[in-house]
Amino acid sequence: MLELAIGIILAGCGIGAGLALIAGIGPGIGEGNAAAKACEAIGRQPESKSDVTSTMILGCAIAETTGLYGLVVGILLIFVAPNMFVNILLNAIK
Amino acid sequence: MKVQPAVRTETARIAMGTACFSLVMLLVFALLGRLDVTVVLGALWGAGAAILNFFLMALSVQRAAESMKGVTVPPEPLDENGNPDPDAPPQPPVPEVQRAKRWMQLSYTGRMLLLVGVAIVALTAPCFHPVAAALALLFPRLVIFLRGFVKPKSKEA
Repeated sequence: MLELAIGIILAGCGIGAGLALIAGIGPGIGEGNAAAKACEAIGRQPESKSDVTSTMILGCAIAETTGLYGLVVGILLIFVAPNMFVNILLNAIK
Repeated sequence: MKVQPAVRTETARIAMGTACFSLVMLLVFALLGRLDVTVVLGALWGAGAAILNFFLMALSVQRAAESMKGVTVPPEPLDENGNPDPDAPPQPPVPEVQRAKRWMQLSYTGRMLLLVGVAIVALTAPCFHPVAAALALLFPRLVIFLRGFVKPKSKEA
């Protein structure tokens, strides 16, 4: 029974980590689209290149943080959460 | 490739803000009585990785913007109200724009792989406090969020 509980914990952590890392897909697509639109804007108004670049840097940084949240959660679920949850389980059994 | 002033300025601002937030985080750890050398090393590791990631991203943006040098994109067709015309035929894609889009996506993938390595090292190496390192990775977003409340300097001044 204990092995089953530990297996469920590990499976839950693995599935959760996989789901969390899905969050990394969206920012990549979004950053590419933002860059494409910014490049179009620069192509239409070359004099606004500096302003567009500054804005795009901040926009990309904000978009990227969403992927970073997913990455940190996923890696915490893989490397930290299993030990923590198994210890909680073992302490509860004692 | 020469680093543009906009990239330098933004990276310097983010670096200063991340350093300030890291100091605040160390202060909070000290107040909680949990400040030790692993927390300091974790904060340095996470903040350094966050600043490096921002700088690499800014360089990618600069390269994407510079790839448009000498390229002219035709204006978007507008309706009588000045809004984008949904009935207008689709414009052919500009190769430089598509190349910049793919470059940004490739750059994002590379930087994410770099951050995966950084996060794995931070969480598994005993010399780094995992919470301090993970929190420091998120500070650039906080800096950008707080910059929204700061009144920008007018260009005429």
